Amino acid sequence: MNTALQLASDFIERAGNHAFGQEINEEYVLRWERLKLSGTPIATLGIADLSREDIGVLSLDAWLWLGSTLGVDDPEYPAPFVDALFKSTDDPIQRLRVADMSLRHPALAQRYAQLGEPQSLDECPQSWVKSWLLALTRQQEPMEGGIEEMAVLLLQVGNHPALRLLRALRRTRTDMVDGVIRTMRGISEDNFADFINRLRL
Amino acid sequence: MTAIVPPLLDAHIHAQIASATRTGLVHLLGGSWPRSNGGKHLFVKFTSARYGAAYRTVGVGASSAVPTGLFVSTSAGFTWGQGCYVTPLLYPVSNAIYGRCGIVAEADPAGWRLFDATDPVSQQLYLDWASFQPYYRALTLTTHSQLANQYLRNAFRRQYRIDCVVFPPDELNPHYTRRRVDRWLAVSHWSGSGDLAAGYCSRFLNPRLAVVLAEEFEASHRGIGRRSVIGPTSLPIDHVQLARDIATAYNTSSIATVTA
Repeated sequence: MNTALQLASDFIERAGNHAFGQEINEEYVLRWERLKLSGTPIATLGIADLSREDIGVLSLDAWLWLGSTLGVDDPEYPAPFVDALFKSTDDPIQRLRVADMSLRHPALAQRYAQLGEPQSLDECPQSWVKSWLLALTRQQEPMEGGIEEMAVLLLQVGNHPALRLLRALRRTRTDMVDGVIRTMRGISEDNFADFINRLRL
Repeated sequence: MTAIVPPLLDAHIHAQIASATRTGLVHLLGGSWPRSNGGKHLFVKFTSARYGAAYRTVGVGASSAVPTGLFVSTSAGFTWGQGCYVTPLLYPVSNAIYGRCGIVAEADPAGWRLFDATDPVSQQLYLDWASFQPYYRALTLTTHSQLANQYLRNAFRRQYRIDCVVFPPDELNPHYTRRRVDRWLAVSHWSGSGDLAAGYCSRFLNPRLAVVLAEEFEASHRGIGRRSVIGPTSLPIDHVQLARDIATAYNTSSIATVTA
């Protein structure tokens, strides 16, 4: 049991849960930033040890807010924990937000910057998205919509890690990824190749 | 970041931003913009007394740890997403509806990449850009309107590396906020990895409490307006003189009081 997180849960909820309203959110985010000026509140929360069993401690909104505050020197949410967050909702917007938060951790950007151009999913730096994509591509009975959902999601997040992962995914599931791209607004057979080249997919 | 929108639209957006950036914030807004003793332009951000006190540098209760920048708002519901919301001191009490303590800071806006969201052409370009986003339908056809706006606007600002969005006030008070004249700014605070960051925006230097307003506001018109509880004792408010008075207070490390 993550006691520190449980003790801090009311504070984190008021900072990150939109149900409290913008004024309360703003107040607690400001208080959080002032805490960071004088200490390291993240270090007390046991982020690196989070497991699926901790999901219920905070609302999804609060988890997403806390995850978005993590800096380059802060631990990332463990992949199994992010996996549980992602699967805790069927709402496509919430799932986008989970993946977006995970893909924007500054340490992940650093790992991709140091690596160069991965050619396959296996070569990609470790992240929850990589783990999830590998699981999707290796399933004997692929989850309906799983790869397509991730392709759209990676296009929407669109940062360097997302596009490198999408390229790697396309190498193993070309037809599925291309099928998703062809449904995007503004994409036709005339400009499909240009789109692929522009995004270096 | 490579844009997924059609190249022609992408080029138009870049051109529109480049045009506003060449004009520059100072010329875009015009007027006699008060400056600090050091020659930099002054900006103001109103906040509640509880947090305004942290920026007090003089007198009894002066803070020993004044934050080094202005606070970045991260909550959904802010017009242009995550950013530091300020007004140029040209509009001295325009965002006073958010608190009675005016934190004034200086900054040099030269070179800021600008998106002028008061320009109908820019507005349409943003709407067109949004319509090409893969999640556009989901983001605009669900109940998550504030989250959707925040997500899209953050994405747009990241995509085009926009340092500052200029936009008209969208929460109003008939005495303090002038929709047709005033301009609000959403200023980006970038992380080392090129993402929008939280915390304190270090573009704004030497922030200090420089004005206190003797007024209270409460939401009205279902949150679109902010009604003055006390109200000004004389109208119209002389915004030009008020801006000068606040600038003088900032430059002399004192606090101007604006009585209702």
